[in-house]
Amino acid sequence: MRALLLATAALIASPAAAQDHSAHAEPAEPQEEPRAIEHGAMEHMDHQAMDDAQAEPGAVDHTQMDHAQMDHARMNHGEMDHQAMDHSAMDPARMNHAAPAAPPPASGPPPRAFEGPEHAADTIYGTAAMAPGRQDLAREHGEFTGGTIMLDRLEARLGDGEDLYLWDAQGWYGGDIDRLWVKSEGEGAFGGEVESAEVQALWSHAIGPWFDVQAGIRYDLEPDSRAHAVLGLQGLSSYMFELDAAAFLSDRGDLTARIEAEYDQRITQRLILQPRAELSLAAQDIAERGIGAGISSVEAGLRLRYEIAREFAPYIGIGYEAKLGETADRARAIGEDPNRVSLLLGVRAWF
Amino acid sequence: MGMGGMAHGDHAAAAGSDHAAMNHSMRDLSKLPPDANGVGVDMVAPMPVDRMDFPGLGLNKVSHRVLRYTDLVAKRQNPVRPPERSLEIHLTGNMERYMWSFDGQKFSAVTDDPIRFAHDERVRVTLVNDTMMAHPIHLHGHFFELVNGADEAHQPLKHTLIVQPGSKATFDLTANEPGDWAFHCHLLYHMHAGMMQVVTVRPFPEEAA
Repeated sequence: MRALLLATAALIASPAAAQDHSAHAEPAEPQEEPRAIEHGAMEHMDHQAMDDAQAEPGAVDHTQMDHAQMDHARMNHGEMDHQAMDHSAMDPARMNHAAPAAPPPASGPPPRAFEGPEHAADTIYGTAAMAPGRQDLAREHGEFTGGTIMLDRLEARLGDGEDLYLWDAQGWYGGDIDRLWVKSEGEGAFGGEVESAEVQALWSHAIGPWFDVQAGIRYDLEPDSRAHAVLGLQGLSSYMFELDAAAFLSDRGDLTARIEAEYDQRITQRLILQPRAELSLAAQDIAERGIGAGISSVEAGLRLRYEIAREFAPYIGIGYEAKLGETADRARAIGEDPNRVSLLLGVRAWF
Repeated sequence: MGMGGMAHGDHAAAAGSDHAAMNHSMRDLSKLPPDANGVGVDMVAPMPVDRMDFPGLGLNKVSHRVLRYTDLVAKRQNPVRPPERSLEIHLTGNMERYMWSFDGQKFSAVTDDPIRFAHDERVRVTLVNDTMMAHPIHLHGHFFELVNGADEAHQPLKHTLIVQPGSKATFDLTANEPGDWAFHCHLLYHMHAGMMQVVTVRPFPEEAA
């Protein structure tokens, strides 16, 4: 009986156009053969041979396939050319076309499915009793709230002259689309003063799967008190680069911008090499901060971290920073070296 | 931020795709219903295949035999009835943002738009997993029949179906239990993030006294 059903179904099945790959996944017989022709295996088949009208169905020798060695992760379905496959030489009787040749129409629910009150439970318990529960149900299934605090860089920068310390932290709290995003960054000399310190409070709004637009304020505590309006873009660009680009308009009318990019190169699951670059720009000279118009400074770093736990990773690295153009001239004028190479020792942590 | 990179590191090998290989064909939103929220969809399976014969990640390379969906056959005969219509539901997500949904919309966004069936209608439902994780999808109140290659009278009955990453899986449902029923991913974190819907089977019976 089963064989008869299968054969009938197979006859009904129209050729190649109607064959989907789910059907091919089930050779009906002989039963002791591997039960599945994986797509990966199909890649290895010689489709030219299948094109040959003289080829016998038996030419596709399922027993030669080694499914155990197939690497599903490496299959590339995107590159398969289904147009180029010719199934005409395959024997339909040997395949299980239990799936109907033409799928039933995707016609949407019939009118009966729209009849009656909006909610079934209301007919038993009443809307007054059920409405609060439904509200909770919605809130608990999609209204996600979360947050994280990330200490991206907490490091000592050892090199010529004073040894410096630096912190660079950020955190967010909120839902999946809108979040409060807080960032803080600063630098100082060990045993000396804090040279720069800033805090940003931003509203972060998802504009795509990987990018947020961020707007808010930045407040500089050092070297002098100064507020800025911030507009930026933060996210994960193609090839997994973390990007953070923002423009700042200070309360004195100065326009500056910063672009940061970093990339996690996994050497092992725990050992990660992170190249990082930062570019600072200014639209005008800012004399009191020694900044000249144009690209004012670049920073490049290479950090090798070991994740003792996901949340805690000490690192060692090398950093190069250079003031450029007018900014470099101003540094030289006050006897500072505009370039600096540092050995970086730090820790990256989040929770 | 590190967490995103982590999630991808864990799953990239499993699904055979990572962002490095990303291109437009890996995220063709036109394959989803028009009201899908693109922010919550980090990829759309470019060519989902039925993988009911797949033993499961981690079980696909073991030396012993593993029970798979294609091994199942119903013990007792089911009534044979061809499906009257088909329905495709995408399992969607964005791991960078901890977002999970059906058809690109989390439950809280579609509370007034349930998945509708008419009482006693028979529908062939195909679940398309656009994500890089397996999802055990559970329908309350019903047993459906896996379209797993078994003959039509002996398709195995289940109420929860694991859909492999980047794959699809199909079941025939005879909607014979009127009412509102939960339909959700049984990884409860995914459910609470929004991979949840109400399945309504109508009309409801006349109110009992």
